[in-house]
Amino acid sequence: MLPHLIRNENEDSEIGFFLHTPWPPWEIFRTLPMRREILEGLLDSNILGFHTKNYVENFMQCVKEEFNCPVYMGKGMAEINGRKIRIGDFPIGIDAKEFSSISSFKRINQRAKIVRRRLNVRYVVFSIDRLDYTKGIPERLKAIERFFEKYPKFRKRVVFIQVANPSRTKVEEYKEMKRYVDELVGRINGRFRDFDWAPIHYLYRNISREEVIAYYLASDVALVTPLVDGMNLISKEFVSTKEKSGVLILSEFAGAAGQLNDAILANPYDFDEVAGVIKRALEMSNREKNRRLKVLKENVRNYDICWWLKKFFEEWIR
Amino acid sequence: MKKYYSSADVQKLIKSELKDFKFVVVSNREPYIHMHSPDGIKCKLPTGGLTAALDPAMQACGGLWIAGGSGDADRQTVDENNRVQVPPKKPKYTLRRVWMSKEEVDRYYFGFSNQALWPLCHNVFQKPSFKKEFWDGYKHSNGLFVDALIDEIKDEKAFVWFQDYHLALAPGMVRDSVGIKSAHFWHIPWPPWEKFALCPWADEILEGLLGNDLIGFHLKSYCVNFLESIEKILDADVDQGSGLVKYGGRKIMVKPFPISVDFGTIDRFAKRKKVEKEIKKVRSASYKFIGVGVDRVDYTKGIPERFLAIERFLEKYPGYQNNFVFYEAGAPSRTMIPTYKKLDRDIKKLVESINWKYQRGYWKPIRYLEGKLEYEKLLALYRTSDVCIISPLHDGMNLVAKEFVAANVENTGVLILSKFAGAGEELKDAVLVNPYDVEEFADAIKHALDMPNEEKENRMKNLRLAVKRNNVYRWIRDFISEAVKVL
Repeated sequence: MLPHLIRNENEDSEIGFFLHTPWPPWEIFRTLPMRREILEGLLDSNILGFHTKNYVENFMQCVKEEFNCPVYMGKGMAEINGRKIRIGDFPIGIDAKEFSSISSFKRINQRAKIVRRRLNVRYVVFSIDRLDYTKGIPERLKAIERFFEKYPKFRKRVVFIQVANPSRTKVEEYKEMKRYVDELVGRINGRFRDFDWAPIHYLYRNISREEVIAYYLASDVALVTPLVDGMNLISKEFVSTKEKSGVLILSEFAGAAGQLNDAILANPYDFDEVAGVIKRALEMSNREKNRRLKVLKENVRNYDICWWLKKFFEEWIR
Repeated sequence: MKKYYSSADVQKLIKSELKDFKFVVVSNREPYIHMHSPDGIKCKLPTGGLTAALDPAMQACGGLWIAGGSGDADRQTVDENNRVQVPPKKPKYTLRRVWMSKEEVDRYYFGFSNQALWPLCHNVFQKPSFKKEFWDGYKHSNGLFVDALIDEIKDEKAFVWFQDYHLALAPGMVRDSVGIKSAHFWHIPWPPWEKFALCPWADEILEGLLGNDLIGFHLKSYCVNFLESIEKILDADVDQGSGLVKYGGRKIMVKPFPISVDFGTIDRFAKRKKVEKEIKKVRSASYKFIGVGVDRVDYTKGIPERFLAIERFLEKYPGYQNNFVFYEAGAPSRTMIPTYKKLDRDIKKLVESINWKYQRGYWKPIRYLEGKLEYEKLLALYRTSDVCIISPLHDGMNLVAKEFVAANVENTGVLILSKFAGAGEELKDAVLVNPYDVEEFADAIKHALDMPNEEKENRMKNLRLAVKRNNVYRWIRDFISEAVKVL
């Protein structure tokens, strides 16, 4: 609505808008009763940005169906009431340099070493999410359960760290999700744990950025499996933090999957597949790990936050 | 082209165009169910438009129907080859039954069909459950249907018509059998490709369906979604304009065929004496306005949304309190699945709370009739209601809407229909609503009840003409005519 309100105040404003979530197909968007007002609000911008081409296509289709106006997919433009609006994909990046420099701090590396030593297992797999139903936490936990079921030799040799940041705790769905995750962790740990080993280390709290980076450094694998995600920056942070031999497992339904092709991609709904790729990640040769990581790092470095800003503004003034 | 098609036209078509082929229908549900009763074994017809529509065609050409046995006396009524001749009183064709254990039904029917594919294909925010054991069971049971099919056909030339989402893999399994040409009709929506891609076995399902020579959906938009799915997921060569797919060295046609009801029969039945008696009973309650809704109790049908709209309507326009009664016939369905059990409970609670809020004396706004309604009573409600409200959140077609139109013989009723039902595309003279938009929905009820008689009559006449023209025989005829091209 904001672009519309601003435009009403000042006809000549230059307005840019970036949407950080996915944009759904028309068939889903059309169920929203106030959809027309929302589209009109957004279309009062001069430029609209999304993370992926697919979201742009979905948005354009919605504009076309709602207003029956011309949209030009190739040119990245829609025309409504004689006004031209640029619409494009600008996959957001992170400050890769910053992450890689923090990761060389001595105290953080020290911390990572302590984590490794205390956990005292061969492999550490790390996940961190807002506790949100789009993040696929229950699905991931079930895949972990399947992993220990199918490959018992990994029992006592792998620890999964799951950090869940409290989020929207007043909303009933989120409360329900927390209860469910608590129960699942308890069940799976109860099923597999030994007096000196538990498969899942579950932290329900907010942790500092330095702590997060220490966990990245201490881990062999990052398991990032949202059911759907606009972009997902955790995957990019992990990649730019690791210097060598880190493996990224990424949901094929995260926006980042379009860029990070050298991650191991998996369908988070498919517990057998996820269990299988965890095994594959753990058993991957160092050579392959390093090769993949190198390509991933390059991608995250090249398409970082500065690139994103630059691209968006260049397109805007064009 | 003919104006109105009848079962005779379909009979003629099948006899002339498919004479060299054995005509076989394969579906999950059987057209005749044998049940034990205190008076011995009785033969029943299932609910659902599909079996009723195809039965006359089968009777005409004396083909073969393969379906899952579901009656508790089904096993006692077949011969040693699991066949029974139907209809029982005047046998015209063969029904071959496929047997499944409870465990098999749990995985194939309640599991993958109805907890994975059903929510996957309907855009209603119900998460599908992709359990590996469901999927394995689905593959296994599709194989059981195929075994029966191969056993029946042997080396004959056959035209096989698969029905619906329960049997997506069967066409791929029979592809290599010589002499078989097959077509498939998918009776539920097809979702946008990025949603279909969530299914871990999306590619296998698509490949299974592409085992057919022709695939039909209700609407053009479902065809577009399906074609996009095979283009993006299988990387097949697709022509969106003509619906032609090239895949694995073969050609497959994809086209829309909107299904319908048997207009003539419903229209005739609705005028019967028995129905008129029932109308008197309904009217004797003497409320000014009557509404009706008929559904399987399913989360795609928007039943709670409808009741919330009725509540808002009574609140916003209190003049209708004491004057408006809504009859909802909810047939319990798939109650083995927890989501359905919960929905059933939630609906009953909601009815109770709305009724408690508004009821005065004998009047309460919602009469919830659980279970299957007698056909005469149903037709009586259709004929005498001022408004019929069909508000699915998403629906492949929705035949209740068309059934209501066919039964509203005096042109006095108004149809309120969801924009998200497939039928919304054809039935332009209904009052279309977004079932998620409670204000618009409440206003639509008022609009329908206040509508001048002349407008009601005009709209209903147009609706009836549309359904009469595009009746179910036209659907079969169009589908078979297209299928003949690929023989």
